Amino acid sequence: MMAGNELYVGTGILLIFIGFVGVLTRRNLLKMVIGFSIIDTGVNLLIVALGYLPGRTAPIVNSPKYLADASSLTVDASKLVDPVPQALVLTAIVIGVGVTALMLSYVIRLYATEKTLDVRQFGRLKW
Amino acid sequence: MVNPILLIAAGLGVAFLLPVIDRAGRVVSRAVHLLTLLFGLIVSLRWLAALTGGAQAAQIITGGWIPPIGINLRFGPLEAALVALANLTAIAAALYLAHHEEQSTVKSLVIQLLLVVGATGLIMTRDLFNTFVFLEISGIGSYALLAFGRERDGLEAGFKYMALGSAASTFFLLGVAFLYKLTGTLNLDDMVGKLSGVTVAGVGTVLLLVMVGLMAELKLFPLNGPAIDIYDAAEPGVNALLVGTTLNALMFTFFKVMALYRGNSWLLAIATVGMTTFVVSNLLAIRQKKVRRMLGYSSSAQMGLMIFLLPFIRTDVVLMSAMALLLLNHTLAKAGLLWLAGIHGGRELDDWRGAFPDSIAMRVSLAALILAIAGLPPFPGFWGKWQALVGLARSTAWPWIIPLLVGSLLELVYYFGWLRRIVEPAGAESRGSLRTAFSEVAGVLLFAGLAIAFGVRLTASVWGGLGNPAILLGIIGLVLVVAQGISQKAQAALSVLAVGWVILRVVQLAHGCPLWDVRGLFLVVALFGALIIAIAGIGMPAGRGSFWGLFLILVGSIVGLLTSDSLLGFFAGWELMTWSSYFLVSQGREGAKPGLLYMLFSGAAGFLILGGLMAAEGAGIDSMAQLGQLSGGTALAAWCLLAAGFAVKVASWGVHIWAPGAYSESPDLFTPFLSGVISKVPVFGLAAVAARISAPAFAAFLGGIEPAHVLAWVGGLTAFGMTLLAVFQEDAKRLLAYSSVGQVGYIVLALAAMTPLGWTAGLWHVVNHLLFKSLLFLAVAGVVYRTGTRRFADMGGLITRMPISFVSVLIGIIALSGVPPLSGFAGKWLLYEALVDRGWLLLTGFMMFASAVAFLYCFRLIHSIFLGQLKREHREIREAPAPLLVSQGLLMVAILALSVRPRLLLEPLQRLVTGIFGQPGLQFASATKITSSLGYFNAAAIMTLVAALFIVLLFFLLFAGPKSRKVGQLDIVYAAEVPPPPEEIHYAWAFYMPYERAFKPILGSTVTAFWSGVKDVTEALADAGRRVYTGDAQTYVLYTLLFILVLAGLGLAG
Repeated sequence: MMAGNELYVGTGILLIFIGFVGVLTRRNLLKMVIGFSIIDTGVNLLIVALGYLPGRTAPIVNSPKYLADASSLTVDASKLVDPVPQALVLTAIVIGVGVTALMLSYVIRLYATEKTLDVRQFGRLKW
Repeated sequence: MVNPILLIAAGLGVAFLLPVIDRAGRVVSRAVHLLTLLFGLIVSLRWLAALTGGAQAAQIITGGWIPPIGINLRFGPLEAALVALANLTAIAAALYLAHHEEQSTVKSLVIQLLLVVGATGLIMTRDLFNTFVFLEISGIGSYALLAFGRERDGLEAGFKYMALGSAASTFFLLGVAFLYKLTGTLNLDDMVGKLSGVTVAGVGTVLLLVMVGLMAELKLFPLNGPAIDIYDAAEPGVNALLVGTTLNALMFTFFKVMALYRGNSWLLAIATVGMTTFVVSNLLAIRQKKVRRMLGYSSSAQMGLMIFLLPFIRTDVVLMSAMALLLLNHTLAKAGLLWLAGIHGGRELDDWRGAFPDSIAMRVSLAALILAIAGLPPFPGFWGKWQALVGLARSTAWPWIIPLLVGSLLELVYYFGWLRRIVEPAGAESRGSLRTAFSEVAGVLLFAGLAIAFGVRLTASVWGGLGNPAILLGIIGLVLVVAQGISQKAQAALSVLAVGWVILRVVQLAHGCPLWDVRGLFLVVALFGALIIAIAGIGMPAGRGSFWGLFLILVGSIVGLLTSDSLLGFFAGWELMTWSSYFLVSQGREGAKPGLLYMLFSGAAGFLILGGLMAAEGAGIDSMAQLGQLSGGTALAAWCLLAAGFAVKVASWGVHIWAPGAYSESPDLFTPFLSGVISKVPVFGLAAVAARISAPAFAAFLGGIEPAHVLAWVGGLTAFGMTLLAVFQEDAKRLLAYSSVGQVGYIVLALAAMTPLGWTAGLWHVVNHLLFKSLLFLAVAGVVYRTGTRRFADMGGLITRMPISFVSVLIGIIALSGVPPLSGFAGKWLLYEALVDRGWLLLTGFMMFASAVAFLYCFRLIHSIFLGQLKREHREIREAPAPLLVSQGLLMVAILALSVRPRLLLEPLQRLVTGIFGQPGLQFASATKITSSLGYFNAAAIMTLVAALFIVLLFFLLFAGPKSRKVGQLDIVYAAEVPPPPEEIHYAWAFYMPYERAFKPILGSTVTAFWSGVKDVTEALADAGRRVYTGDAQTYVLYTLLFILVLAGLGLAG
């Protein structure tokens, strides 16, 4: 099922793992945000890797060689990887940017209240 | 019809144009914002009307691609309803938020609109990736809205919420990507078919990721820490908006993806997590002192309950409507309560004492919404819970009913803990005046109004339409509660008319009733009792402004309960009665705390009864008349649960601790009703149920005991124990309270005999107790009204000032104690005969002893109040108000009539018991002579004999006996000093001290100690449990990972 894309899948999973370690162990709010960003990247890589088919190219028709029949402009699907995950990742990247930006603005505002970036200072609400 | 896709397009378009429009002024942008939402509301409501009328659900195809390739949306009745609800909430939220500086910016308006768009998209889309996109729109929208608040705590909560939300959406996205890999499609409907063909080992893990992503967003335990912080710290108006939009949309999303889990082992996990959330969140909430945080726990619990139902919905359509009702109820109640929390501003529970002292509309809304969210009728949540339970009872999933009921009881604990503060009399520190414009409270009024309207509609559908007297009484009551201008006495007079009219109506209605006999008896008892109270109310003020409105709601609920043949109708009436009487009890000066205790025990009784009714529903029985079809273990379970519930409600020994406080602290005019009528309703339940279900004996290992025999001992011990306790009371109403509970114990005992004679005795006592106990309580009410005290030590010698009240009490105690010639004698005679006839000789002995003890408290009552020396401050006191005396007169006439002509009641009772047992318990040998299997009884002869003896004695005392000498109060010379406290030297103080010492060993406070132990253990559990929420963002993210690991581990193991 994953012939030829183990490297990418593996890297994706590793990035997610690294990201979570960052989120869970770094006390600095900014570093936590970086952790979330790494998780995002890992997920995106993983999704692209899931749609990857060895020996094929990106689903962007920029040359007649990807057309099955030059006259009818029909795409030769056997030469391209699955386009759906790629489209998904494009959307996910945009969303990821939005989330990161919003998180960073939270960090700015939190810093303004307590003059610290230590996440342990922001645990007053509990029980 | 407008294409529903426009709902999304218009929302998005306007959202991005708003900053431009805002240039023309905030008023313009706000108007455009509201108009957009109104457009959404109208379009979705029109679709809803068309769809429920049979129209086809709209399928919307985007970009010209036909599904499963392209993204498609669906707009069916559920979608339309949810979108309408989202727009409605958003309108009310916008009106509210406009009054809050931080959220009145154009940025906030944009985000509010985006939240509605996100929710609409989530609700309509059938594409999984599209779901993710709308999930993120909703998520980012909510984080951004929360970030507008400038308070440090709000920001902290927002960040934690966002951290958890980001992790959750990561899991969801991963799950969706893997699902695509496995099935080659993102279309939900297409995927369901294709997934069943996939047999790869990883499917379970992939589905787990999707599931956990949604669970974290829906704040299920233990992933709900940040969500609760949000409730605690953020602007309540924002939370209200989220409840109506994002939260409902997420719930519907979970509902949609459930199709993927069909036949999957995760179903059990989902149900377990949901139910755990329901029970645990409700448990942890009981220790919350912060109102908003408590509401957060409650939201978690409600989400848990709905998620729990999801896995079962596929198998049962009843559960579908249960879910819809619960969701509607939660949206109305939670959003409304959050707005109220914002308007009031009180963060701690104690800030809510006498909340909104100058606005009845706010108080009614507050009470209605709390009742709604606590799952009480008539509000939609009650019907939702009932249907959920019925759905479960009829499937193999019935054991889930137990945690559901336990969780619901815990829910009552904290919501009524909150209500306890609210119902306290308003003081100087009471908060919650209406500072701002109508638009701020519009949402509250709208949502409370909707909840009430839905409630009345639903109740009417079970109780035979809006024209039913029970419903009409309720509506009149509601109007009286809200109408503040009418004086108390006028309201009482109105109540007399209303009850009188119902008496006429019921007499007409009742003839078609298959159960006319038992029901008829209790209807007469209830309505006569109500009439007496209403008449007395013309003479003296009762409780607070809403007393008579609540009283009519209460009477209506009892009428509905007694006339309804369906189990649902019975239980709806029962719960209505419980909360309306709770409010009345709480109106006493010190009534709030005893009221809470009353409510909690009544609530527990209600859930036991509910359990019993569910045993019947599980066997496919939904009406009283069919109860007889139950057999075997089901019959035993149903009988025991119902009997236990009724036994709690009559305050049997062991669970009696709620009664003394509730009776003595409730308003003086309400206590007679509580004792005379409300305590008879469980007796009706017992009679109606016991007459139908024949419970088999317990299994052999329990010695083959008959359940009715156990109940008889419960009744007997109650009668015995409460009578003893009554003797040692220092407070007139407390004495009568214990006496009342004890008397109902006699009734339970007599009914448990399950013989014609036993039932005759029990039902006779039902009527007799109504008469004499109402009489006594009314007489005491008059005394308390005039003297301002309930303590015996502060009274005495009132016979000269209040002679009619004295006669009332005299008649009352003679009827109570069972000495000839009054009606009580017939009652005792019947009871002893029934017990001997049944062969329960030990119980007979106990009862005779208890009856002898009852003389002690009867004497105490009349002696300490009316005899002895008149207090100096009572010398100018007047007799009780005339209407009160009229009520007492009516009761005395009834007692005398029954005493002289017992056949008036005994004959109908014989017809009644013949209908049930096939034979009467008594024969009528002549006009006055009544015979049973053991002996005979002649009321007229006894009356003549007693009268003769009385005249002889009177003659002796007046003319032949020693002459008495009048002594003034000041003739008594005390020692030079007055020992503190002075009342201890009063003759009425510690009247029965020697007996009290003698009985001390068996009167120990073990029962009270036991229940306070139960309270302590529950609170300790709740305290320990909520330490889970450490407040640390990283811990919460870690919980998500651990949650997945644990579930995955369980999944692999299972």
